[in-house]
Amino acid sequence: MKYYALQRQSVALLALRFTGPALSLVLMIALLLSTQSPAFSHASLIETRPSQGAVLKAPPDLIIMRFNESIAPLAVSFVNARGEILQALSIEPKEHELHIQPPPDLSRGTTLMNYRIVSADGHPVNGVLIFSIGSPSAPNPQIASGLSPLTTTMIWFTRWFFLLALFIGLGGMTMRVWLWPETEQFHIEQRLNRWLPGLGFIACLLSIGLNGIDATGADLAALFTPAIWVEGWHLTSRLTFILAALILILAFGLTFSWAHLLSAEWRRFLIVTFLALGSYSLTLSGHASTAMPDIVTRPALFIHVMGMAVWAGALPILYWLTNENETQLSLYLQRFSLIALPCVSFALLGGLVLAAIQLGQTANLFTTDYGRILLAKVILVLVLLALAGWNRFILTAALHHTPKTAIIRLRRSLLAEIVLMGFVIALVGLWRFTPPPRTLEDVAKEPFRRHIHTSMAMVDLEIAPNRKGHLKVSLYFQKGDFTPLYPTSVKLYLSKPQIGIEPIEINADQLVEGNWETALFFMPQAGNWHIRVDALIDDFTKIILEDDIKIQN
Amino acid sequence: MTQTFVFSRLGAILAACLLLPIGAFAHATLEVKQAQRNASYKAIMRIGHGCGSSPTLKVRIRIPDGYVNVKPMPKAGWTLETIIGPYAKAYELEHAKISEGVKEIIWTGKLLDSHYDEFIMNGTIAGDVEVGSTLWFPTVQECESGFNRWIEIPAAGKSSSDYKEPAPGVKITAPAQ
Repeated sequence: MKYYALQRQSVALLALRFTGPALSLVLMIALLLSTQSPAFSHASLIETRPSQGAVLKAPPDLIIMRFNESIAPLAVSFVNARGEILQALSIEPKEHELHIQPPPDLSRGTTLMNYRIVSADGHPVNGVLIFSIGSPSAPNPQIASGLSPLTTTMIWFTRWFFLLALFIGLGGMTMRVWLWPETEQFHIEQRLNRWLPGLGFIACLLSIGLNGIDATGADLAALFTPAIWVEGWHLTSRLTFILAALILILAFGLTFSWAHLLSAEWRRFLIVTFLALGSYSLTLSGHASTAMPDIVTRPALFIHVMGMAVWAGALPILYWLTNENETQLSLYLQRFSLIALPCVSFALLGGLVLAAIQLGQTANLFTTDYGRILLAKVILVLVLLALAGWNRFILTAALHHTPKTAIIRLRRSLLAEIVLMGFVIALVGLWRFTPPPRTLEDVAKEPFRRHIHTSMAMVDLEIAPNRKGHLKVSLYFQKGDFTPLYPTSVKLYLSKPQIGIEPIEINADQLVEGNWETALFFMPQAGNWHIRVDALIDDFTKIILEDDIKIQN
Repeated sequence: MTQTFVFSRLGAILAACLLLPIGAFAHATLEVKQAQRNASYKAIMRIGHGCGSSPTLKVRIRIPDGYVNVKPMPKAGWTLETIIGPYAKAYELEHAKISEGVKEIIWTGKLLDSHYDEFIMNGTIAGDVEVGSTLWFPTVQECESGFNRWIEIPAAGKSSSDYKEPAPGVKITAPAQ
């Protein structure tokens, strides 16, 4: 009878154990699918007044920058020809435009205007507008180079701590409540699972300010000014940090004795919901969540984070449990074995999908910073997996034969795993500073080629690389009858009349007779452009060749 | 690298409004835009402005094939040069065969941007010029700083107004009966 009751109870417990997370998972996936973000892309500059490279007679009263979408300004500064750094008098966003009043003392010569704006996906976009007053001078190379090493370290460390709180702290709490409820009595060992979420909460709040610094390129001391926090608050990443902060502080509260007023079932349900929401918070911003197609990347990121949190969170608790006698320990280990394989599989599956999308090409694994971090992470995870396999298949079995040595080995192996996990999470924090290769310029792309032919003349155009951004155009001229044609000067005009981009004039230089090439110039937008080639043959004869071309994104 | 957006759209509209009464003076243009075939034609080239605000120092006109026996009119204060060359083919004119003549006329002097002037030549539209075609008078205006080349000949399906620096032209009509 007693046996039967016990069994019934454990079946009910088991059912509860699995319906809870299953429900949460379904809930989370529904949430993920329902909050599809709009197709995010970095804001791109359409035009500026004065134009890039313009030579002006007098300093401009107003500088206007027009973007393809609504943007918010973060910082604008000027470096005049004398190398002095000056601040804008006023910066005013007007829908897609930014109206900037330059400082009054722009000297003659070349001025650089550094700007940082933030686009819809929450990523700051930097750029430099160069114009000259009177005549060009050698530009001063003080282009905003970014953050001080101290600030970078601070951002990275905060990020690391935040992820530790989420994985080891919250993940560990979940494991404790679900797999090893007995351990809730061991108050001493609970400290890590209590204080990591507690401090993680502070790291979350700090991250909002630090992101403000990252966005504006300000000094670390600016953390004490409210403006920086306002800047940070305006970034999309605030969604991640607010949700995570809320979750972490609630999880922190759940570790105190008052939480035992709640039934065990309630606590189980709450903690797994917290873990799911914490993982969900990471899909709300960042490189991985905005990668396309987001219907794939966001769920992949979610299962990756969930799986890793369960795995990472279990390790420190298992380490403490090795203090138990071997019979208890092998029971605890068996429970972990049940969930370890699916969790690690989910983590790896999600990770592989994300890596494939972010990386683009295998070669990027070795040639980009993002790829090198990924490579290091993969190596560490392989070592982790080897240790986990050793624990699972050799040491667990050895517990029955040679418990003493097995436990010592298990302790060492687990400690190594915890340290490795810490390094893995630290590496993930570094991704904060490296753009994934998918967003980098793919310079190797096929150039755009076009042959324009009239009865008088023809030109072979080559545009490389065929994508918006910096590119150059090469031209080869021939007469209509395929005999050589040698222009004395060549100019290009690129326009986009359908959206009101007036012709951009670009000079070409002669390489050899009949072959002309432009310098690298900035193509502000992808899509259809109208190109006009003016080739002056002699003082009175100009050949005009026109066509439509398509620039890739 | 020069990369200049042409932002003067609004400015151009404004200028066009201001210049409307004398709109034709915005470019180098011919006063009489039609000429009969096989008849004499007095070409009056009108120069309405300098290069930006810079004064004009030289006006050079390339004489089109089919406009023959051309004689430029001297101008007080301007030195006049002509470049003589062979025509693409010989023309029958009042029972005489002519195979060469003025190919380019160059006036050198000074015309302020705030002033207006006309540069005149007389000649004959040859008898074999196609009715309905246009004879183009590519004109280069050289200034103290910079120059304007009024030499853009519209492609098929386009008109002079599609270009920034259109060449002045005259449309050939049928001779009077």
